[in-house]
Amino acid sequence: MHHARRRIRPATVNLTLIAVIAVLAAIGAMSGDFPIPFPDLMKVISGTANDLTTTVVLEWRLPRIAAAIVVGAALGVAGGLFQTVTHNPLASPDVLGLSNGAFVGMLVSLVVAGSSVESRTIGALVGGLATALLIFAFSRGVGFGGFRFIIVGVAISSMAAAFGTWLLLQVDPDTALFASAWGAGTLAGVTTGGVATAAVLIGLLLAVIPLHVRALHQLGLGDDVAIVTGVHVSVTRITMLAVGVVLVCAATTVAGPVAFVALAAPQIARRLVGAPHIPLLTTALFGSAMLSGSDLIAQHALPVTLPVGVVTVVVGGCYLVWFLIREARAGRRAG
Amino acid sequence: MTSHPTRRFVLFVAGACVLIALLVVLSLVVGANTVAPTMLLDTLAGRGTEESRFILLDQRVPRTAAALVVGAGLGGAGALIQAITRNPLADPGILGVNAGAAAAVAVAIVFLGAASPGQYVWFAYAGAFVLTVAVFLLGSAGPRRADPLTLTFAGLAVGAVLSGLTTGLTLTNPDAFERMLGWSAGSLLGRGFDVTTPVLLPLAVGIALALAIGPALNAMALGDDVATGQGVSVPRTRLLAVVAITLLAGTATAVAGPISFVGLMMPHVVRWIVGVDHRRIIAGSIVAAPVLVLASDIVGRLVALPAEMPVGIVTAFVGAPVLVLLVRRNRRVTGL
Amino acid sequence: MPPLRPASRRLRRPALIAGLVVAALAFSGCSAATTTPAATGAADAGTITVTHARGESEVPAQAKRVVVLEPVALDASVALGVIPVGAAVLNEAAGIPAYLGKAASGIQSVGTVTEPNVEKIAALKPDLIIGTESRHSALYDQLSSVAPTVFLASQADPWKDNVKLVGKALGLADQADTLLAGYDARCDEVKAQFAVEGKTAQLIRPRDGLLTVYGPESFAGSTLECVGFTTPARDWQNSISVDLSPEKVLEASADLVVVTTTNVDDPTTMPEAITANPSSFPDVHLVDQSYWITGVGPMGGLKVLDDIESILRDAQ
Repeated sequence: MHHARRRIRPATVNLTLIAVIAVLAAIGAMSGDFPIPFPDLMKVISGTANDLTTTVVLEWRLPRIAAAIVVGAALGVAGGLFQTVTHNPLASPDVLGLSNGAFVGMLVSLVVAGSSVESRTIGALVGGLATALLIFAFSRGVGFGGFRFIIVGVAISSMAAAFGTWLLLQVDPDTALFASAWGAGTLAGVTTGGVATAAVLIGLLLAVIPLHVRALHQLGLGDDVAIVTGVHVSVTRITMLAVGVVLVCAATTVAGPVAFVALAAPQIARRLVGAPHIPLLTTALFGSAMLSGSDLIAQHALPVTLPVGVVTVVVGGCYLVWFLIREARAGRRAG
Repeated sequence: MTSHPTRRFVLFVAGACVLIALLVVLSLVVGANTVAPTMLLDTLAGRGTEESRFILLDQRVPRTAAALVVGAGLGGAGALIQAITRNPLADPGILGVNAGAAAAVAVAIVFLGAASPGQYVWFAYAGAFVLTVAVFLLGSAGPRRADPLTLTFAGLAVGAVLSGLTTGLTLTNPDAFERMLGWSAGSLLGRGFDVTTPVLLPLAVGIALALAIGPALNAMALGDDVATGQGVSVPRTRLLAVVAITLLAGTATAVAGPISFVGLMMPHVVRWIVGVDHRRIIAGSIVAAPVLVLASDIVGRLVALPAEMPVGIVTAFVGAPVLVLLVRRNRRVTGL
Repeated sequence: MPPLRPASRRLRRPALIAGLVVAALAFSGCSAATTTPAATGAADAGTITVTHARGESEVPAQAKRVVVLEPVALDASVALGVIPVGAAVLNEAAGIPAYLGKAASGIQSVGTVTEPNVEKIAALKPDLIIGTESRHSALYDQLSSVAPTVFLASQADPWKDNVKLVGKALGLADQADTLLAGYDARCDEVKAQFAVEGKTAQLIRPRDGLLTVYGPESFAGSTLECVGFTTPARDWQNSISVDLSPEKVLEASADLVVVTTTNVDDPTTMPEAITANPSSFPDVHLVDQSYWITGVGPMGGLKVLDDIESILRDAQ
């Protein structure tokens, strides 16, 4: 009976999440300084709405909604991959400093090459990849499973953050503010082209994963089990980590370094489904839902627009707090 | 026989004091503006020009004093936090001291128009204190009273929420954003005696408390049960340690803003030289950390002329590689 | 779509024109045509072509409902007599700068300069939008679908060039030239009246204990120079300003030193570095940051000149 419940739950959870995402997207399409009633939204979808409504929904709001879904999924899956491969529920790309590294790379290119979208993107990619290499190079003797790996990431993240602060102090205040808003993670200013490119890249990466699903599950149960069942541990590990890093970089080029989605989404998805391993599809859906919801809050909850990253940090922090209380009550060691 | 470790400890402390003396002199002599030594002596004697008096007496002397205070606070807090979390890679900031101070300073800047370190000091203290209490309470919720891992998580979690709120608050106000940016880099610029004098008392209390619980920490190093068996109250020791950490790290952050890595690195260096006795590590760290802070501040004055590089950024550049080396060397860590 | 309000017989002419424009927009919006609103039904005579950072655009010959996204454009429009219906502000808390005068105080905020809100802009039904390529590049397409959009290349470009482009976009190119000539004339007037040739002046902005000194390429720095002062020479590192450690405060001294502050009436905002060295700073004054630093444009420039004149007059 217990088993039957577990087999049903993933599909139900996934469908529910898809419904949630659809609702959030609809709310996003309807809200703003031009409120669009639901019937008009339906008209846009069927192509019969008037010019202004169509423009507002398809050209102004849709890129942002699409970005939230795509970036949320990418971050969630990246976090899930990291956590599975390292058996470490805290090993998320943002905690490890990849996001800070991408931000610093973006700052450097901002100072050196100007503020065009292309230069920012390249800077973020280079920064993120360089940081990932640094972290992995320095953790070779440490192992991925424990606290020490996190500490290496935190150290490199802090160094990147300090360097970033230094750069911010050098540029003029306007640029510093603009860079910091981007650095908190924001979906403002996403362009249709940018989202589309990222979506294609992320889609390709996500497509690679199902090939390794079995191997990932086995990895999740422990390296020994995986080796026994014939999984190429190192190859799978490295491939999946690489996929995770590129997913984070792609997400960062669209929205800047958004924190905590990669950390929280996999664990929450795992609890929703009640599985011992991290369910990547559910994680992707939950990540999308989480970022979509956060962006709605960021845009509409206060009279001033906030960067979405601020909301995810608060939400993610609350998640950690809840996680903590729960683990403490259960008397188990956290993690 | 304990003569060897004792002798090493005494030599270490003496050596640190000598280094501090040398660095103090260096700190008075060196800076963005070169002042001839003869002029410096004149100024100390009460003569000198208006400019040299400003540079020496208004800038370098208070700054040096601040560096010593900040160093003592960070060193002591670092040694304590590593002792009670039994995690040699813990930094005083993980209990949320920095996040709490930052949030309070942001509120002061945005809502009360605070604009100088002298005005931030008390807010930073209050914020650090409130947050540490919150983290401690959160970490104590559950059967394991404030065990190391839980405390760390709690600090991380609450710190994250608070840092998000702080960022959100300052991004809405560009002037506030600029001032927060300057503060959050961790700097000794403009920290006059109006900033350091008020914190001397809490610092002293923190140091006294830290040294007093040294023996209890030694007992706890062997395990909670062993300690209880020896008559040490583990929950009370943890509580006192957290109070001391707040006083010490709170002082440092209130004066200079968040400075990372010093509290993390110094206890290791000290332990390497004086051994595992916590009383010696704590005392040694309190004496040795000012060396690092003062040296970093001096470096910061010279590498970014005609401006300067804030000391918090210098320590991050120096500290992160050292930390990573430590992590790789450190194999005797339980449970990590 | 908002319902069309019936025209009242007692409406004044500008409101009537605005009403017609709104009606035209409403009708054009509801039709299946895909032309941008301002190209159809503008009640005034035709359109002009403006060359800007994004190529060429057709804009109304005399735009009436302008939204500006850059401080220099805001200053220039107000100076030219066209009060925008909406403007991006540097700081939501501070709002529209006070130095622009009462006429400007009612301008609606459409978000911050770094993150303007397209929906708020569209809600104002503008017929011209002026933005900056270096900041708002990603928004160009969205903005152009609301109204004809003209982009300045960069806020760091020489401000007079930006004022001229704003003038062209508003169909007031000649008036813009007159404004700039007026500024130059005022400069010469002050110069002739007070004979400051050969004297040095330095603009300082205190920042977190550091002192930011502004050079001849900065807005107010160039104003000081056009009046006849010279900024003390230094390596400006290809920038409009350089940060100085307070230990080097004497490098910032000059015959006349102006220090910016957010509150001119509060003498405690004078940095300690300066108050501790009175003999090196014989002539130092606090000035308002909102137009000396951030108020780039003809009106800001004239306010700066007013300050300079009153400082020089008091010194006599």
